Amino acid sequence: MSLVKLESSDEKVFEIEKEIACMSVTIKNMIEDIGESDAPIPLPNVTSTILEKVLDYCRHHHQHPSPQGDEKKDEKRLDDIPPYDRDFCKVDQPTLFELILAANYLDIKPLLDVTCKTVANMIRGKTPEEIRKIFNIKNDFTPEEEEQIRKENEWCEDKGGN
Amino acid sequence: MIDILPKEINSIRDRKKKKRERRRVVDVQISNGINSYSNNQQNSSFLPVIIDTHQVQQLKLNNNNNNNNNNNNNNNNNNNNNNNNNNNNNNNNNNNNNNNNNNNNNNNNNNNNNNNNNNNNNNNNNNNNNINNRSSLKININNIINTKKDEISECSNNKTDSTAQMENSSSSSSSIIDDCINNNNNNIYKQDQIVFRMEVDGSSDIDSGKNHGQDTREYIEIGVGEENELSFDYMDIDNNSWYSGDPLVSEVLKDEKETMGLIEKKRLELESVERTISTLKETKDLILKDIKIKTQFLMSVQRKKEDQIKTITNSYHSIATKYNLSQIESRSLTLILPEEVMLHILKFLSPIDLCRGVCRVSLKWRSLAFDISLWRDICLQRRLLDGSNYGYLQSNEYQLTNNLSSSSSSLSNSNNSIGSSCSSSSSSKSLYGDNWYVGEFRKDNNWRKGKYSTTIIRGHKEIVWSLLFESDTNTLISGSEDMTVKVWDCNGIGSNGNNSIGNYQDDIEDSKKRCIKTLTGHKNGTICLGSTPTRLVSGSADGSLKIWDRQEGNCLETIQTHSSVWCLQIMDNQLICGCVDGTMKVFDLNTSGCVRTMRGHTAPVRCLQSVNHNGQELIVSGSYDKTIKIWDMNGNCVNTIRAHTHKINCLQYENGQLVSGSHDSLLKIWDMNGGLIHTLQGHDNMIHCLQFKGNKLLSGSTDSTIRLWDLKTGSHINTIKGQSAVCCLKFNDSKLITGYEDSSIKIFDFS
Repeated sequence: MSLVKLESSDEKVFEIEKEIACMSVTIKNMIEDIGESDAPIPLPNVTSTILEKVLDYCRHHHQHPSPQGDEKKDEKRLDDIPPYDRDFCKVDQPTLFELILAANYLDIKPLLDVTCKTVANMIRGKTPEEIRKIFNIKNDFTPEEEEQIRKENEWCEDKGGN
Repeated sequence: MIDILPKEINSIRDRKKKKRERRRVVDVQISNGINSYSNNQQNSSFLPVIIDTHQVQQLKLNNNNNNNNNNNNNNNNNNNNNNNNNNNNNNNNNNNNNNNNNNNNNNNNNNNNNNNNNNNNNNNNNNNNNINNRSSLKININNIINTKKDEISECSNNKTDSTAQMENSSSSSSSIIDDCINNNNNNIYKQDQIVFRMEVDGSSDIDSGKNHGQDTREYIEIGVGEENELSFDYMDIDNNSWYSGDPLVSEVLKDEKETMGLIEKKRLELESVERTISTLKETKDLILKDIKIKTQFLMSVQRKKEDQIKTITNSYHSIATKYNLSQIESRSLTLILPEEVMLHILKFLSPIDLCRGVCRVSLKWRSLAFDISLWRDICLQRRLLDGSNYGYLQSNEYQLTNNLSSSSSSLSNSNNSIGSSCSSSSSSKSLYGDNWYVGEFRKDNNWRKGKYSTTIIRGHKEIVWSLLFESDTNTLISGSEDMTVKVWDCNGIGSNGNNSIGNYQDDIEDSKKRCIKTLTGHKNGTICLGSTPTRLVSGSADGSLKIWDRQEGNCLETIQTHSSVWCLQIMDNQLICGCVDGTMKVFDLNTSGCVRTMRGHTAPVRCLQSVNHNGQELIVSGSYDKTIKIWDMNGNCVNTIRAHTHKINCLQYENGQLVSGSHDSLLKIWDMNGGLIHTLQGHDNMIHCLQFKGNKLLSGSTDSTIRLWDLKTGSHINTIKGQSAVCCLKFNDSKLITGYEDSSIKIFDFS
């Protein structure tokens, strides 16, 4: 199996099987575009720490392919994260966000899904105030706007109706 | 043995009888005071002694004296045990008085009974010693002795010399007593407990605890050595010590007794407190140990925490540098995510999460939360966009039920509709920016959860048989058993007005204002309605069809048929109606002439609809003969479905699916070949009306409820409570209008 070289933003070079590297649609396209060569593929948006983790993820899923088909059926489910992925996402927020960005940039859909699901789980069931705290977001609504939104969304509260 | 009893004693015994009847002298065990505490449990052998009944008293005295003697001996021999006894005294305060009492009695006894010579000296000694040592000698035996005292003295009075009597009689009884005494003496050091087993006359009145049933004899066991468990039921003996009567002492005695009791009580309390203290101390030690362990754990956790904070801080710092975030922004990582990634995250959240949480976080999050593509996905997932019911996007197909007879519940796709998009859609537009899907979702949610505002419209006097609702003008037309047709203005009901979810309005004045026109002329109930842009058509139980001018409200034409008209539908320029006689007639609206009569049903035709099935024009009809018939436009019946076991009340066809409702309280979903897809069970009484649109199927029943069903799955979603038996209903995606047996009309608004 042929190997490809990937170079992170901090100029570290990783060698990995081509097949694993091609789980990233971006890398796959690059290889197809430039043809195989010994020169490392530059990935200026990914640091070595993150790239290492991403490659770990790819390696694991290459060895343990998840059964196809299930994924499509219930795309919205949040509790279907397999144990490896769950542990994989047990990282600090900056790392998690960098992983999301890397997955997005490298176009690795399963990794993007699982990291986004992790963030969605952080949001799920939370009040706006809690969400603001988690992600350090400033509340830029005027009181009037807040009241308007509250009214608009009364319908989704459990109470009400007759 | 009874033979040798002296007569005197017999007579005495007789006199004692009554007294004894009150007693229950049972097993009496006399404790050997000295050893009772140390050994009485281990050694308890009994020494049976046989005596004459009449000598029981004396025997007891003897025993008592013997015991005293024994005690004394024991005391002499076992000085060490005195301490034990003294302890016993302390432990058995109650006995002290009794023992004293016993001593007193013994003195008396000795004085009275000189026959116990051999014991006298000992007794005298004993009396002194007993005060200290005989505490454990059981009270109760002394009590017996007490009681016997009188009797014996009596006895000795009768005999001039009782001692002589006892000695001279040389009877077996006295020798037995001697035996007894000897035995006692012999055994005294070997045994801590002595039981005198007195053999008495079988007919004796002495109550025996243990009847051994040998011959006619009973045994009375007097045990020595047991603790205080001796019990006597009669306590008619004076218990006081000889000096206790003295007023000087009695007070002190009382105090002594009480104080001793108190001390004992306190001592026990102290013991229990000490026990508690020790257990508490143990617990304290455990807790201290626990705290120590936990503290150590806390330290390690805190160390870990600090490490992690350091790592995270570094991470934040590096990411902030990398993405040029300012100091304030450095922890707002959502800023670095591109919008499409944010939407990808939100895609995994439920609509409720989006509306409750996400959209209220910030302006940016709000705009993301109401992203159109996001909500289109949500609506697609809920299958809200199935069918052709959502007028905002597909207004051409969005036709409200302006051309239906309510009794036939038919929703037509035909061309003469004047319906257009649902006005309520536009109102939700302003709320969610341009996101129409959110409004759809919200309405669907309200339908499912049963969240609505209600308005009741009153004006009819009898059953409301049929309804038409025109969404574009918010006009409602109703036909009633009271022979009239009424036209109502429904503007300002629901989302267009001030009503919000949960509101309830039932205002007769408001109803009066809303009633624009009342069309009169029918001579019987108005059962069914139809409309064109300029006309209204009504069918009545009086057998006539009337065509009204919408503007003026005057009757333009009356078509008379031969039987009551129960259902009708307008198709282009033709009018088709179903009659009670089982026929269906087609009229030309321009000429009012009957074009065709279709015969086939054997009972009243209750509902019909003209349909376009795969390009073919057909008429579907349901009848009280329990069948559904499908006709071509030439009047030929092309199919008959034996649909229900009871009269068919309503049906509707759309997109290849036919739904029928019946008196058998079932709804059935068919394909046009008569194949049954679903049977919907749930109503408790006959079904009068139904309508379906998209995936939503509603049915109204005599059970006063409206049920919402999922057309695809056939599952029940929600039940809405109506006013009374539901006779007709119409709905669009925001409103449900229902007509009732009690003459009221109720409008539910879900927007």
